[in-house]
Amino acid sequence: MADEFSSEDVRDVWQKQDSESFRMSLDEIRKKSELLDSCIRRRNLIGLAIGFFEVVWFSVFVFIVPNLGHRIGYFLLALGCGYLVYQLLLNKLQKRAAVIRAGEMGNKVSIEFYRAELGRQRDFHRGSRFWSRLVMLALGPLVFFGLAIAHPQNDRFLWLVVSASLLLLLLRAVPLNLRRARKYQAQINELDALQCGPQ
Amino acid sequence: MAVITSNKDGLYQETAHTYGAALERLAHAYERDQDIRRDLLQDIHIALWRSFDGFDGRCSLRTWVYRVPHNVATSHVIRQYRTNSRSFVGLEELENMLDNREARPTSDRYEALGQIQALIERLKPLDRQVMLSYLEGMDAASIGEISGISPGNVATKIHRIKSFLVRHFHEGGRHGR
Repeated sequence: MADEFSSEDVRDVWQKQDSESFRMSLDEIRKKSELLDSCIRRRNLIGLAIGFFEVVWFSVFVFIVPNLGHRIGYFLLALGCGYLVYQLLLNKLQKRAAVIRAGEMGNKVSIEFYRAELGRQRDFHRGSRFWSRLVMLALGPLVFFGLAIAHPQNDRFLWLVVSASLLLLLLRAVPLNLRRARKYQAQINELDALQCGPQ
Repeated sequence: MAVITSNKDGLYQETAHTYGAALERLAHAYERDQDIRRDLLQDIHIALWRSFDGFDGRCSLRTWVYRVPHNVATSHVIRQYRTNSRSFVGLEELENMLDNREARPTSDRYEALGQIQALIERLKPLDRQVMLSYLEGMDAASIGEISGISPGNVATKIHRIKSFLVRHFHEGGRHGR
């Protein structure tokens, strides 16, 4: 090899690198595979439990507070939280499903697999899934904001600040999410060009 | 069912025996951290074992065996990308970056290996896959079959890889004289 490497030498260096001799027995693989499935089930259950708790938490206020406007606000907050958790869970499930359906991974060329992954992430940040999530999350704070303006009470300032902050956060989320979606779309376009490029 | 299971087990064992070292190299190229790499390698082996339920011989075993690990590793890279905000570059950008930097002389295999790994780690998933497949000794047709990139684009990428590998290490060697 003297002082220089040809591209064949580089391949040789790569292929002859030290190996850690990683091995997994079939029993070990079966156990880990079952463990992975139960981890996913547990995580999904935890996600559902958190979502359920949030919905219940806000729903309780629907029955506690005397004011009808506030009741509606809490109901919409509960609905928004539930919808957000549902979408997060759906996104996670789709992601895991792609990994678990390993059989399909062998039938799918890498570019299609990668494209599907990017497409899933892009859709989380734009389109109907994003806008419906935003609207559902904004409804509750909007009602509280409107109430704070329309019905001056002792705690008006607090309601105003909290609901306005939530609305501002949601507004700020719009350009951030759309920018992220554009980034994913740019990567998808690159992949399309590679797939449909010169034959 | 027993036949299917034993076939699945048999395919996995054959794969682990034949491609075990290549899978390790693949994991090495996708993850530098030793502990995380071990997890990734485990995920790859589990995914491969599970994947043989769906192996119907429509493509060669070799193609299948390289597709599954690359897809698992790509998922891993995307996850890392989201959590670390690491930015990857394409082969073209990498070439330009190397052009603007003086090649470090090396005639040492270990150092060369370190440099190859450092280069691979910066690449976007598909370019990384092409580079790795090339280093594993595959031809353009096999790389196209595994990755789904059109033959013309694979050829262009291989040409680029060859040229910058030669330039990077060749020039490095000259400096080292």
